[in-house]
Amino acid sequence: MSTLAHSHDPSHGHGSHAHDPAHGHDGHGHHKETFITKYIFSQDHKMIAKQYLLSGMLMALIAAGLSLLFRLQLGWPDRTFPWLETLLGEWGKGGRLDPNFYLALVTLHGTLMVFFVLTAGLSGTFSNLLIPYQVGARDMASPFLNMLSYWLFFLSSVIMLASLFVESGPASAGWTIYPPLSALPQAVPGSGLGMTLWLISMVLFIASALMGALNYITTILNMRTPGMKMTRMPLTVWSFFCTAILGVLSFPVLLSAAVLLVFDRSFGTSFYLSEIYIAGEALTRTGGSPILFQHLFWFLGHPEVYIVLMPALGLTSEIIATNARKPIFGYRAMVGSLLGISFLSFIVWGHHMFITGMNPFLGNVFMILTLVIAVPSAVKVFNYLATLWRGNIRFTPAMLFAIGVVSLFISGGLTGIYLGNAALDINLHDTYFVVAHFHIVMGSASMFGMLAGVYHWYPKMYGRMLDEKLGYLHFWLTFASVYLVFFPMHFMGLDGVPRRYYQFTGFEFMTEWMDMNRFISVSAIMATAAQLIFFYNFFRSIRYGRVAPQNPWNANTLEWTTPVERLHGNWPGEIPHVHRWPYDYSRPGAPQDFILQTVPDEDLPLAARGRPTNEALSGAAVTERAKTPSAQPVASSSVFIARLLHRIGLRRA
Amino acid sequence: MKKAFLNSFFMNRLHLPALFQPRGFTALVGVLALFLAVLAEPAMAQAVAPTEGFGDGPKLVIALIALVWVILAGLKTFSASMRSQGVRLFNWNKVNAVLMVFFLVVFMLFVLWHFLKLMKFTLPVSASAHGVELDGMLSVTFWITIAVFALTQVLLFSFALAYRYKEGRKALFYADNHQLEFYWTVVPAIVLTVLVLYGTKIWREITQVQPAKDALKFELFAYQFGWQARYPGADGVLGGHDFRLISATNSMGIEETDSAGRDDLLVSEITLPVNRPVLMKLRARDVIHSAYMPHFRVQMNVVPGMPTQFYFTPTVTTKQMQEITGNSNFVYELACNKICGAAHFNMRMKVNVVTDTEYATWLSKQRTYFRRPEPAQELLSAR
Repeated sequence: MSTLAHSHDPSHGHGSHAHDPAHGHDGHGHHKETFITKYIFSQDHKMIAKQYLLSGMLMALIAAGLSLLFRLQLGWPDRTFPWLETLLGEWGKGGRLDPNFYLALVTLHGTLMVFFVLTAGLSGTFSNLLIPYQVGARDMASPFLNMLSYWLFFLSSVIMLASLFVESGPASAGWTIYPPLSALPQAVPGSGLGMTLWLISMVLFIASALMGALNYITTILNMRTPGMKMTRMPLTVWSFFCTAILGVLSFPVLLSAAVLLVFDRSFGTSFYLSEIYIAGEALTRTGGSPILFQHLFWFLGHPEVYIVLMPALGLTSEIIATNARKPIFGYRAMVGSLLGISFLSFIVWGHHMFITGMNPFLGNVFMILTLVIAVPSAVKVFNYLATLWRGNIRFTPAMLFAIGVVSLFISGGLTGIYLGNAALDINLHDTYFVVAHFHIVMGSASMFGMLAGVYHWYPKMYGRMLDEKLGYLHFWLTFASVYLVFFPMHFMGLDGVPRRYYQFTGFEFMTEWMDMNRFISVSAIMATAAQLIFFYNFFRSIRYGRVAPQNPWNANTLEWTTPVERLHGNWPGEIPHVHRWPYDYSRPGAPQDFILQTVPDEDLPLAARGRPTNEALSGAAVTERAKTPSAQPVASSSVFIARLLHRIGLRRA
Repeated sequence: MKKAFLNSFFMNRLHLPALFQPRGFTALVGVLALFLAVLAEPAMAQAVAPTEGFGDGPKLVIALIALVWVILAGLKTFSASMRSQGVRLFNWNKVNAVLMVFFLVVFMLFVLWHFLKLMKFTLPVSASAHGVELDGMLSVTFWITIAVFALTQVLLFSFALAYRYKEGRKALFYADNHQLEFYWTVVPAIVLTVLVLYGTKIWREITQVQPAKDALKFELFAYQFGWQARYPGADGVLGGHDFRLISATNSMGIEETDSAGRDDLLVSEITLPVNRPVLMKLRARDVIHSAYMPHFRVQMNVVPGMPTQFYFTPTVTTKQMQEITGNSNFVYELACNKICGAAHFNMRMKVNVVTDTEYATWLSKQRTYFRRPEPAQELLSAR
């Protein structure tokens, strides 16, 4: 492997793909990689992807563990668990969770899952792994910045986890850290040193996310191999592209929110503080607005939801097309809906604030915009269904998880129609209905997307295959338990049960949910246990898995043309040129049911050459053949966007 | 194929010794674990006090895992021995495809069970005028979303079964159809437009109306961790307030210099006359709270430094609601619904909805903060 890797100069012969000057550590024939440069301070996108994945998996395990601790409290509020005191000391006194620590658990579970697992772990892993592979680049535009991005993320993870060991406890104002609760240590102990660490950690995280995102965008725009037009990019790359743009535009706003909060906490300003009397004294700092923070937070917070979800949808698109052996249905509509979702995600943040006291007129505006975003989402679902229709579906574990994504995206997306409606939100806001909604559509769907991605691209990461049967078991247990955990929560929400409650014993109308809470907790334990199967499979297969063939899924995209051994620089010879879009599956007249993107028309039988057109449908089914876009009247937003792309030269050939 | 399967199935020598092969060994361990779990049951049941630990839980889980282990290990052994006979016991692709539809059926039954069994645990009819409108909107949204839910989930899982991999079949090369895209862009857009128009109408009616002149005005004050309510006295006007005046004796920071506040009443339970519009003024002392009264479909955040309000009309008295729910202990409750610290889960206040006469009686019993306007009454009650 190493001889191959070093015999070739990655930047040789490709003027347009010349590496960043900072990328000087290898690939020049004679340099020897040490353990440190290869595995720790690596600048290879594949290694960085694996670093992100392993960190993400570790954080997911911790975050899931934290959730089990508070599910223990919610499921069995009437019992004591002496081992809790052994584990947590003061916070588990007498075998019962301390209410302040309960809030800290909820806060850290949310923070770790949203940012460290589903942003860094998902987007970080697959953007790094797949962007250079799928656009045909030797590495990222700036491998050095990429390395820096990971290590800042690592540092931020360490600081976030360190806050668990602070005497006054970790941040406990919820993952949304609304001030004044998060600004005043008098309000909750977690707003002391714990909150300071949270903010420092997030500032580093944002810096890391920005470095990553700028790298992704630059690589996609500038380093595509000849022939790889924007409209020939796999939907994975499109989704990473949109995600990165969202990150670049929204994370700085969170940074500003965090910095102002730091000022309020440490330097005596009052951006978010006004007319507060706490701990026996009236604060002299007035004139600020707690609502300002919410506006700034959700200006990131809402795009963040899509930063988490879109990569999962991109991976799903690729996996469904590959395993249904069919072109993804409505490629341009899929790209259009990604762009539509990206744009709309910036102007819907107010739906998190309908009842914060924001001017109710704004509620109207945000309601309209929020429900508009359901349209591109619906288009995506229907396109997935149409892709499965008359396919020849292989149920690899990746495919199972991808189907799971679609199912969860539907279930969780539909409840968004309730919550996006300002009127209905009055009674559903901050109840378990919200918990059910976002855990299904953002948490689980994205997590399923990530798992689907791991199963599908594991051969590209480790050169070996994951065990399929353990994958099936993992999927079915996880899929069932996700619905068992989160579906009943809708009904708790419809009964007005608030989230972030330590226990439900204080209110008459909530006590009837005790049994259900226990059921949910048991299901959550089952869901977590199922993940152990995955961890076992993952780590065992690194050494003992079946050696991967060159193209295990018979897929079309470029990464499957690289050697199984995973060279630094990706391709031993020249970077392959691209001659077609990535979804030529089951093309009539072709010898196989897939055509790699690198195959030129000349290598194909006459019948399979040229612009792909739909195969005629048999029977009484729709006989409409697709026409060229120019011959078609502007019929829908998706077609409109497709034609727009055509105008600006992004059209698929 | 079938013959080979039956042959091997009935040939004892094939799968009896298999139990002693490495794979059979895992099955044996599983059986042992199951056996131990069952044996340990009475011992554990005695050892674990009912208020401590999980009780029977872990034992059941161990037994369940052992059972699954036995089944899986047995199947694995069996299928391995079959494979050596050249028979593939499982077509995993088909197994998964069938499981998809099996899941769909169980999933739909699960959803149905929820609606049949859990709906009765959700909120009873709305106890406020606007809440009835809201519930109407909720049910329209419900029927639309449940239809889309059922349709898409059924299509998803049944496509999985119908179009599972079959040797020799080729998928249909069908990349796009503008007409279809048009329909499934426009139809959701139209449905959502209807929902938006309906939603904005109700939202405006609830939040953007001029309160009636005879509306009962009262103030709700939130602090870590409790509520305090203030009613205007006979003048119907709430006195001024300033957070700098808050002290151990003046918990709401009421301005002593404002004569309008002289007759204000401090109460520990919200009591509202039925069918009279109410303007609830909200104020917070320390951090953000949220005044949530689910039975009235009322919620508004309580923000320090930014007074908020909610305008509604209670229409069902507590007594009536006790009859409706068949629960003689039923009470309306106010909860805090914005994370506010350690005892967030305990920020409760009782809400009573009563008839006009009951309200008048209740009001006459409340005391003012300053007490000065009624020195005589003080003396009377002291005597």
